[in-house]
Amino acid sequence: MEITASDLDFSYGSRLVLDEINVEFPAGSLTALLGVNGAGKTTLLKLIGRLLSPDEGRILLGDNLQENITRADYAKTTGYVSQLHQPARLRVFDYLLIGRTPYSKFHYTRNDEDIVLQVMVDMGLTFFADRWLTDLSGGEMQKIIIARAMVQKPKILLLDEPTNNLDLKNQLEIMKLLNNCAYSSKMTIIFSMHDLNLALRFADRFLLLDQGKLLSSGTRQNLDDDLLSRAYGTPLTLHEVAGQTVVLS
Amino acid sequence: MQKSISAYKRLSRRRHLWLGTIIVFLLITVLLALCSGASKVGMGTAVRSLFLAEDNLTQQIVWQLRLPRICGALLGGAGFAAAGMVLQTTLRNPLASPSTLGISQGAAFGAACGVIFLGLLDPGVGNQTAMLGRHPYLISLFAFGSSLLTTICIVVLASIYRASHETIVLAGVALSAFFMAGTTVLQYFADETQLSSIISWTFGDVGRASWAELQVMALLVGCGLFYLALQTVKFNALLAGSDTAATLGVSVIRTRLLSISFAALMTAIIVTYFGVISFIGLVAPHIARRLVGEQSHILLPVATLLGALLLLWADLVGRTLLSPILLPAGVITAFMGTPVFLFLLFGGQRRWR
Repeated sequence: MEITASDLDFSYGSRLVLDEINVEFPAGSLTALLGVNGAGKTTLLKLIGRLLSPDEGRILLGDNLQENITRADYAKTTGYVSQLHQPARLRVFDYLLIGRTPYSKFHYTRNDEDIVLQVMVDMGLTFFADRWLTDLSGGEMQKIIIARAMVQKPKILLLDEPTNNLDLKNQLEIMKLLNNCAYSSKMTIIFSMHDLNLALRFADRFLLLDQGKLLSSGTRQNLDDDLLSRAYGTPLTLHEVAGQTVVLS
Repeated sequence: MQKSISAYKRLSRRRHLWLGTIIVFLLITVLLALCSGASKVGMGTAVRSLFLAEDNLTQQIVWQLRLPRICGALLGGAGFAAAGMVLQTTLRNPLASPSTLGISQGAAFGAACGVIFLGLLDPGVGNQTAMLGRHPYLISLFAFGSSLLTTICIVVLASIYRASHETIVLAGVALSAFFMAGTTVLQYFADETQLSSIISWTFGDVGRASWAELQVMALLVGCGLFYLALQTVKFNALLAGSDTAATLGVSVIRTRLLSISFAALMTAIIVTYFGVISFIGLVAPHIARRLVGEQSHILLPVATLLGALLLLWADLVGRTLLSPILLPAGVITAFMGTPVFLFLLFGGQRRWR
């Protein structure tokens, strides 16, 4: 499902965090939100995830205006993975069942359990079913949180720094997983990220934010040394090495 | 792979087994409570007098003395435990409960206010033997209003100021100290009968309600339990954090406010009729959590039944320990609750992280 944001403004009190954002996310694209801390990446994700509502402007999901979609329907379309936080004391399977909330009014059904099981099989997480969330490593926890969003059967997946605090192997695994979701299930995926090289390697679209303003949006071709250096406030250069784009400082 | 899944399935079965076990224990305890007391009644006789209309002493003892206490203990225990479990889940605070947040004390203070102020308007009010005197509904209203006010304070602290767990519990301690001080002040202005009425609120006893009052209680506690039982999927979502719950389609603030209000309503109605009974609301959900885990749709029924079971035992012990002297159940729960709570805090740390 494609997302269209037009003329988005958002401010916390008197501080303008997002200023006139116009951007489109095509269906099945994997978009990286780039920019320094405080550039407005998380705020943009929260606006699309409907955790915040914009002061001005509007967001369209497909042809529907965001505010015209009911809460439950929105949750069936959009999965949100927030930054890693202190997990509750739950078993993994119990936690994944929580992802069925938008589909369950008063209780979970056998069907909900089957869907959870299917997602666990698909993502190779069946070893974890009876483990405590509190016993998982950072990488395992992140995969479980993404699995919880997958259990919602969303068409849009929003992730706030999904690879933060993970080792290289886990970073790659998470990114490959997202890549797979975007291309095989036509999911629209948007994630914020600090690691430019990882983002350049896996994402197909990039959105560069600087103090709430959109510096550039589009594919790799829309990025250049000058824009990146301006956004990050330090000289950066793009190079092609062995078929991959890398950033050097 | 299959091992982990089947281990989970076993776990899930065990949770339902616990539910069944507690129901069986509850039935046994009810029978036991019917038979024991100052005058011994055989089990067969007790059960027979429940169902057959005979006009004898046993029947009177069972219907007028034992059964109201049993029903009161079941309702009170269930209500306190469910309220405690919901407060703990919605505030994401393991130390929350009607008594630690001062909601119970608030209700007792409100009732005391009611006794004094209504006494000023209508001097005969204290001369009634029953705890609620001549204006049972007005005094209940005072208790409910005051406990609701306490709840609002807590909710405002928890949601608007985003206070930490410790701050909320400390605020509860401050509020209950305030209400106890207020109750003490009111005692100065009370005459003898009012004084005994006020004091009786500070230690709870499950044998105070008449059948008519029990019906009101059953109705309100029943409504509360029914509402909460419908919210368990949302409570589970709240376990994943309030932001995640919001992205799962749960209106977090509304769910929180409504559930906490229902918890306050149940607490207020029980305290109004029985007085303050502490620890059940704190300890029962914790024991239940040890048995079946955090999942609300199984935790709520287990905690509720466990609360009923615990209060029934507390009353049973209170009635039989120094028989024929009746110790109020509130005293017993305080004695039982303290060691259990300390054990939960320190003894079980390794398994309970």
